[in-house]
Formats: sequence, C-alpha cells, structure tokens
Amino acid sequence: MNKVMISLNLNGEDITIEVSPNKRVVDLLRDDFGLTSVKEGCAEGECGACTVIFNGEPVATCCMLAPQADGSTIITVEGLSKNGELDVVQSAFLESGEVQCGYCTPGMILAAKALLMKNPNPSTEEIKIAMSGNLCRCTGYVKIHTAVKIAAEKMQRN
Amino acid sequence: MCKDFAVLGQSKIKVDSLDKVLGTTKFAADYKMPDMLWGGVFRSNVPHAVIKCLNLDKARALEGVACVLDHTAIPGKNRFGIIIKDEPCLVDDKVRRYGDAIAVVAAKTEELVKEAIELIEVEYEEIEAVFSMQE
Repeated sequence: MNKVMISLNLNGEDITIEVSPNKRVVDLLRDDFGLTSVKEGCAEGECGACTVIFNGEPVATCCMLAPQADGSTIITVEGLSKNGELDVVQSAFLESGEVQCGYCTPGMILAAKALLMKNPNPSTEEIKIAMSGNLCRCTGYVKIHTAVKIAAEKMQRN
Repeated sequence: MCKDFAVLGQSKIKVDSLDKVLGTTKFAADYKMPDMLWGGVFRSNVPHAVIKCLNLDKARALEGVACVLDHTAIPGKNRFGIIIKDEPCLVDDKVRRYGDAIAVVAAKTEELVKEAIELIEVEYEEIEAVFSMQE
C-alpha cells in the first residue's frame, strides 16, 4: 500500500510523517510517537480509552485512520501538563480520588478537558452527557463527575 | 475520633494516582521489547467435557509459530485462585466451562496466532453441564 504524507499539530508541535493509509490514529500515536497514555480498550469506539482532543473535540482514535488526522490539531494527556505542572483537570482527577486502575483515566481527562474548553461551567447533566462516551470498569461514575466539577471550579478561580 | 491518625479518617491521594493522571503508568500493552511475539488462547467451545484427543501438531508446524503449549508445559502445579487455589491455568482433567483455556499460542504476528488457533484439533467427550443454581 502506498504511504501518504500527513502533517498535524501534536501536543503543540508541528509534525510531518509518512504513514500507511490503513494505520489507525491510536497506533500512530502509540507506536510512532510513543504516546502510550492513549489506551486501546474495545477497538470499536465504545469505551473511550483511546480518546484524544481532535480539533477541540473528544474523538476515539481507534476508529480514525491516520490520513484523517492530516491538518488536525491533536492533544493527548502528554500535552496537558507543562513543565511538570499538572493541568487543572489532571489535578482535579488526582484530588478527587477518581483514579483506580487508571486505564480509562487519560481518556476521561481528555473528555473532561474538551468539555471544559467549550463550556467552563457545565451542569451535572452536561458533565454526564460529555463523559458518557468513556467507560470505567473500576469506579462508579460519581467521583468522575465530581472530578470534572472540581476542575470547573478550579478553572473559575484561576 | 480519627483526627489523631495520619492516614485513618483522612483523605489521602493514592500513591499511584500521579503517574496515572500524567498517563505515564505502564500497562501490559505499553511495554515494548525487541522480537516480541503475539499471544493467543485456544478455548473450549463446550461447557463440560473430557478431552479425548488434543492435536497441536498442525498449529506447531505453521511457519512463524514459536510455540503451542498445553497444561503439560506448566512447570509445577497447574492450579491457581485468589483464596482456594483449585482453578486450572490450562485444562488438564476436564473442561469446566465454555471458554476454558486449553492451549496457548505464541507467534510472530497476530494473524499467525489466529491461524494457529484454528489449526488446533480437539475431540471432546461431553459431560452433562450445570447451568443454574437450582440445578
């Protein structure tokens, strides 16, 4: 299969890379860029473990081919913390005790971040809807929703 | 009452949480080593049976397959469990559930693993199964 060139902005860095057209974005991020915070869970767009922020929207990268990322801006959890300082969403997840096994956590954080980028003061209902594409098999969802609330409050204060 | 304790009654941040919110925690699929192989499991498609014959030869003969192992390859005791260690790792005396692990395959590619699993031949002598608490 002929390779194609794609360019994208990945965690603030402009990147051009040659990829197989049938490579999934989750594999591109994990294998080519070593961004292993992007997890593969179901591989069919159900669980949200492979979520990234794609042009401002939370997107499941297991259902997206690399050429579709051409010209896009992608943020993963590796791109959230700056100089060792946590993003407010990361610190909210940390403080709220949301994290258990941690496999869904990066996807959860990015889904929450994408919500708060658009809606800095979401209602509980809006949080539930925004987080509904991300499954957690350890915790309930109460602490996850609380974490997003705490993150929103932190953002308002800053 | 618990105010005097350092941990009891206090909200503590779990020690492993920081790495997890940073996405740096390594899970099994995040490890990469040179010449890694793909693995897969051949499972029973009957709920309760004695294995009369298990033929792994064709799967083993497939090029690119590193090994195909059944319970005889397990050194030591083929039993595990959280409290009572009585569950077989790989089926030995009999199949106890649909999907019981019978053999494991390691091969160079994911496709080869699937192919090798399809080449495994098994002959069951089925036993009546129990499906509910009432039974």
